[in-house]
Amino acid sequence: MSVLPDRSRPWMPTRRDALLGLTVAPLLWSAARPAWGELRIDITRGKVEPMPIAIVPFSGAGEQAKFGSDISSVVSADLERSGLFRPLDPKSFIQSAEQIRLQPRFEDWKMINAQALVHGSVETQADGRLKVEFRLWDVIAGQQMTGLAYFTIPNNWRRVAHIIADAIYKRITGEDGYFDTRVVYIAESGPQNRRVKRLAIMDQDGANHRFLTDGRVLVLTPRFSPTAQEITYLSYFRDQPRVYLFNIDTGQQEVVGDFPGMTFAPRFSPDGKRVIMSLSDTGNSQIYTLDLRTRSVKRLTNHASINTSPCYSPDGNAICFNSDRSGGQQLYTMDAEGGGVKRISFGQGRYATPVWSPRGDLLAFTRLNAGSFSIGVMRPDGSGERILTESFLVEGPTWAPNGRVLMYFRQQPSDDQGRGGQVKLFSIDLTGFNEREIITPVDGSDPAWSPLIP
Amino acid sequence: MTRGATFSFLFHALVVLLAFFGLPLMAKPPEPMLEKPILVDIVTIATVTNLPPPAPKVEPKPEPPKVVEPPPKPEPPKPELPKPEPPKVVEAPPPPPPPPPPPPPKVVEPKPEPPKPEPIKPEPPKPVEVKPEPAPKVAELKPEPPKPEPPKVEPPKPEPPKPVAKVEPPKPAPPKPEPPKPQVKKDDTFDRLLKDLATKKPATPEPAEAKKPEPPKPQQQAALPPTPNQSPPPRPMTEGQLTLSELDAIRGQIAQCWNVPAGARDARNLVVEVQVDMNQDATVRHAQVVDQARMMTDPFFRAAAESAMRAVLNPRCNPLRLPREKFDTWKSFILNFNPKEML
Repeated sequence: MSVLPDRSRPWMPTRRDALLGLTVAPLLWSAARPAWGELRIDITRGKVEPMPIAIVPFSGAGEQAKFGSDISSVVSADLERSGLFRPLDPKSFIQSAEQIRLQPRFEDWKMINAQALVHGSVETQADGRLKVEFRLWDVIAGQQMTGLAYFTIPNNWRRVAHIIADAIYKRITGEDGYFDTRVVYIAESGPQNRRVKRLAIMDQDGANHRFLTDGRVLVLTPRFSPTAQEITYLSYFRDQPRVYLFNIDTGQQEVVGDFPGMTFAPRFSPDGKRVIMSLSDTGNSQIYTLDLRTRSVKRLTNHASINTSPCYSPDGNAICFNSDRSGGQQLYTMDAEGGGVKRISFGQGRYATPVWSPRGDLLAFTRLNAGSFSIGVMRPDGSGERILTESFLVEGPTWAPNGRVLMYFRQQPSDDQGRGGQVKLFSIDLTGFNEREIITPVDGSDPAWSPLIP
Repeated sequence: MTRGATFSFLFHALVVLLAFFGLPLMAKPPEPMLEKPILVDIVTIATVTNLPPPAPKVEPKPEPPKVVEPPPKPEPPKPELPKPEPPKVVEAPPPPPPPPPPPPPKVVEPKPEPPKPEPIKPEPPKPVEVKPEPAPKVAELKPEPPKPEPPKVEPPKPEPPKPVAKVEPPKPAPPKPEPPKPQVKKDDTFDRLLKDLATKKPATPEPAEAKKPEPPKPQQQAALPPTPNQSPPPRPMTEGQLTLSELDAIRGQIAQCWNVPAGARDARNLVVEVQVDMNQDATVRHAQVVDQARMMTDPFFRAAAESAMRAVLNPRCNPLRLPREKFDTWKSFILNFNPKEML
């Protein structure tokens, strides 16, 4: 009886079992082993919502109190506009500014759901300059995240506010800020058939607006130099479109290069020493670079097709552009010497105005498909295309210097009487959320974002 | 003829004898080895399959979940996961009321030194770093001496959720009446952190969204294998393990507190592990990012790590909805914040 079970069990399978056991058991064991040590929970979901931040009006004695509240309101507005922060209503604050200076009572701030706390002070120095100091606290961890002090002339208080907002943004998100920047754009006014287009500049938040040109000549596609307060743009010289340089500080303008045909679609190289642009004299256009110091010109494309809208990668080693060499208008990349041309966009419709993100990970572009325009991003190899915004007419994306936010313009359709057709500037977060209109005194198009002001 | 028959007979006899004595002998040696691995495996598998049942059991609605039936086990986890959850949630509320409020997470009352450091010297025209060292340290050490403060801390916990209710309400409240729906809604908001108008339009959004709940499931299942193992065999018995629905409840709760760094550069690679030590009342006693070195050097990682820490320490997520009787299992664990699937 006792033997039977043994015999009934064929040895072949048992050996296989043994083998199986031998191979599988260690696997199971090793898989189970690390888990014995500790429970491990994967959090793969979360949410995206603005971080609640308490910005206490900066304290100051007498006249400085005004500066204090002005600065903190600019900081607050900057952070709010980024879409990543939700400044809390100062009325809800429990602890007073004076008390915080001694020691923030984090329980009070947790109570109103603040996750970060900013407070600071403004003092006038003996030499008349302002000393603006602030601290950023992590309310939940109960730790100071950063604390900085700045000295500046009183007229400069707005810039200090932007710099403080940048410091807070950088400390919390890990990315550089973009608040201490300016935007040039084409200010448009007048009826649709006789538009006056002037070059204008303003702070990123719309403040300090001024016109740079008087509108007698048409100006188009301004682009900021990544290194200096200089703009390159397209204007008309003897009825020929030509690329110009404009020095913001001096107001000086000059034509770039002396070419037989028309030049357009200019952009600076990342080091600011060259301008890359299109030159057209025979019907199709080719891409050229011009060294601003030596004025030497170099041709990069040589193809019987239209090649235009060139842009540099932030490291200067690659160039993106669009071309119709494959039939439709698509995006291409090539190395800085013009070799290794590679098509990267393959979607329906036409792609135009590629711009490389300053952080290098994405290209923004305009796409025209089925009668409507959209602004999207894709990786430099063409993968991961995403459409961020879509409309009757959206065009001309430009990156904030941290590569996180895009600005562009949107035009409303106009009827046959020429009504409508307003053009406005908008900004949008890279994630496709937080689309905001940039308020300008007149209509605006073709924005170009400056680098952080040095 | 007879010789042939004899031969045949002898040969057959030999074969039979060989078979009778030889085979068992050959078979025997491996035998002792066989049973060990196989039996061990079966045992663990049993515990694995045991995992889900606790959930159905708790559940009032489903068909009379008879004792330990293998078939129901595999099924509930897949399609019915949401259901197991509600009971969990229902179960969770009770814990908070019985407030055994010993030490609140961290009461940073003491002030050995107001970090209000000496005002910055007006020497440099550039920014000056001011760092009050004491504060942080104090914060960490303090938890032990429970202060009279606790009462103050407690109230906010239940309340705060309301103000922020916009996103949340579905979570805590609805589960009781109709669990599945809140689930779907929640998924909607979490769905896509990066907007792509192109994909949204063509696809009929509703069904697509409705289906979203599916993906999470596989994901949970993927997480399944490890979980059973996680409840350490050395520990008493299956009771010590967290059930899938309990794990889901915690995941859901922390997800409500975690603000994902969605647009950051290489956000996909910003996976943060946080080592969490718990108090018996399911509040966090101590939490620390595992990769401290990277925290020092990589500002993006630091930002992501801090967002994870804020989720862990968020008053809204304290106490965590953990079954108190399984304290041994969760008194210390690792939270792995991984935004990959959302981006």
